[in-house]
Amino acid sequence: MLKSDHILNTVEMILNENLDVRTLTMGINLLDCKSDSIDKTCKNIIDKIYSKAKDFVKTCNEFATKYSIPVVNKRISVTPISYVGAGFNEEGFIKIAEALDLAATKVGIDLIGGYSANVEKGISNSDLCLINALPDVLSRTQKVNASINVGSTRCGINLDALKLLGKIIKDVAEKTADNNGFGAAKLVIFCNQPGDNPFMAGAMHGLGEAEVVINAGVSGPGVIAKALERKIHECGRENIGIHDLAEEIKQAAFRVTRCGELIGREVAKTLDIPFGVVDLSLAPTPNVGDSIGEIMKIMGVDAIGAPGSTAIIAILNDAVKKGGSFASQSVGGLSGAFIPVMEDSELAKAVENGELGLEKLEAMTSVCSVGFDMLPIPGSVDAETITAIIADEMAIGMINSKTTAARLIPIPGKETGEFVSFGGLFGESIIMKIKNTGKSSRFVNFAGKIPAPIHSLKN
Amino acid sequence: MAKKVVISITSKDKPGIIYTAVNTIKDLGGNLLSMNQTVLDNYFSMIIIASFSDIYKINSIKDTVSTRLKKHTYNNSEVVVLNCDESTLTSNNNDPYSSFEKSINDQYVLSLCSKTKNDNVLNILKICTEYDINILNLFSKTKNSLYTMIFFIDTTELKSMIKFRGELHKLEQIDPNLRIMLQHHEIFKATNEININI
Repeated sequence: MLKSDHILNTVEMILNENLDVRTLTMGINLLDCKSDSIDKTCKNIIDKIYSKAKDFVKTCNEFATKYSIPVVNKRISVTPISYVGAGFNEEGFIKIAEALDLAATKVGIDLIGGYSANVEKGISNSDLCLINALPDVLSRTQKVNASINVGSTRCGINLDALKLLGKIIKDVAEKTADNNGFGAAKLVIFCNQPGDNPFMAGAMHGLGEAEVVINAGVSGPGVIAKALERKIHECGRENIGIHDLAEEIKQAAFRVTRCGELIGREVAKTLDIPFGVVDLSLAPTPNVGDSIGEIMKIMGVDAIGAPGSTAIIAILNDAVKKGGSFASQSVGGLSGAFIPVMEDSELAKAVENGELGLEKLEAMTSVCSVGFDMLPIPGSVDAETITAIIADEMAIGMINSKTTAARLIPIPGKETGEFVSFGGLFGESIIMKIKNTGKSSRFVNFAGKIPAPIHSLKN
Repeated sequence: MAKKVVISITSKDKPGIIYTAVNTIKDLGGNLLSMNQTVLDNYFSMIIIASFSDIYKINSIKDTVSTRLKKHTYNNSEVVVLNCDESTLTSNNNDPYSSFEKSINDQYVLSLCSKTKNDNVLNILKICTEYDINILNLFSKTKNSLYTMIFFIDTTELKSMIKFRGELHKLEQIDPNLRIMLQHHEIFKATNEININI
């Protein structure tokens, strides 16, 4: 039986706490689009995406209206393009990316992900073409997002690939310098990249996935923050333990996840395609009241980055997973707490105040669900240092058997302390100080492969 | 043949009202079929459906219940007894929300949040009537000086959901402090109950 308080709580979540379904992402297998010519392949890609997704946005909007819960982003992920474009040259990969961009515009979605390659053990010729084409791809297209998996717990980390990518990230930023290097915000480097992640920039449709699938990404930092505030207000700070707050987060995560599960399943059912997973990640936005940093403050640190911050992120990440996994039939993707600097107004403020530095942020990423995300760094930071920063992040993922990612954005012509804004959901921040630049070259230039950890030997 | 009646009781809320009513029905040989109650601003209202094999005793229900309530100092009580239209009744139906649950695809929750209430509630009721929408249940609450009214509605007879939403939206445009949400009830079940029916 529905109770009045249940209804009021849900209405409150929508009206005042930024409850939404952050993304519904349709995964589409493009392997059968490959043809003997690049033009035919591109046409097949556009045709297939259109045939599968032509009613996607309309259907999402219908169910968003039916339940009065916004579906903020409608996106598509595709089979990693390194497989689809295998055999074509760099120019061919650029054409495929442009075809993806065109298809995305044609079906009216926000972003398309899957311009991706998995180079965890080595780089194939097609991987190399795809990577070398990245600066052109990310500067010429609007909606295409790219991701490269450079490592895994099972295979170790490909430092050769990472060394190349350090340079590519700088090239992408330079090529989009007129927009503060925004191209680099559409490129993310992974360790243990999941094949069902609905969130950009790392969404792709993994090789083990069905022909077409709908995955949902739910968020809700605002809901969690308000639930915690209510709990503290009702019980009194002196009467509750941190475990009570964890319990409150679980319950709020349950409700948030259920919204994604319900709407995702309804959309999938209407389009007659299978529903995949709910990614129950707390993805902040620059909006006030939709911040992971705000939750951290509610949970007891006066400055983000102060001692205790990592422990709080660990509690948050775990409680969100527990509450969400009970709410959903199938949980996947990244699932946990994101800490994207530019997209979270409180984190951005902490960087500006000097409270949060790269080192503490890295520690926090070891217990969050992603890693360095939307992190603006000075344009002058050298490629080897970028590689080394990412290598550190990848090592955290490899050793801890978890996904880690790095989305570093070198801002051309700007230095530490200067302000950069990409607008909208991409947010804004002061550029973070990077210490010890230029001091990792000897490590990076060894190149080769970081061996897989001993606990990868499970067979 | 047993005859069914609807007994409604309104009174200032006090412990013992339900006991008095049910005990009276028992003493008159009645069989309790279904009942529901609510309390609003300390006023109690109850509806009971009962069957009686001795139809002559039906006439004495009102007087007997009223007398016994008054004896227990429930002076402000009002008792009304009506004969049931048998065709509208289902047996063993003691779930007050059952009518809401039965045609699930057409059930919506319409919630209104506003700093003022009178005109807004009236306007919504008018629109619901014009669009042939049956209100199955409703309740209101004032919290932090924000008045909230929630209607459980059945849209089975609604011809155009788009037009209905449009009418509600017009009300929001007239009153900037008014927020109206029309949501399929499944979202509330999904966010508050363990099972999910998809």
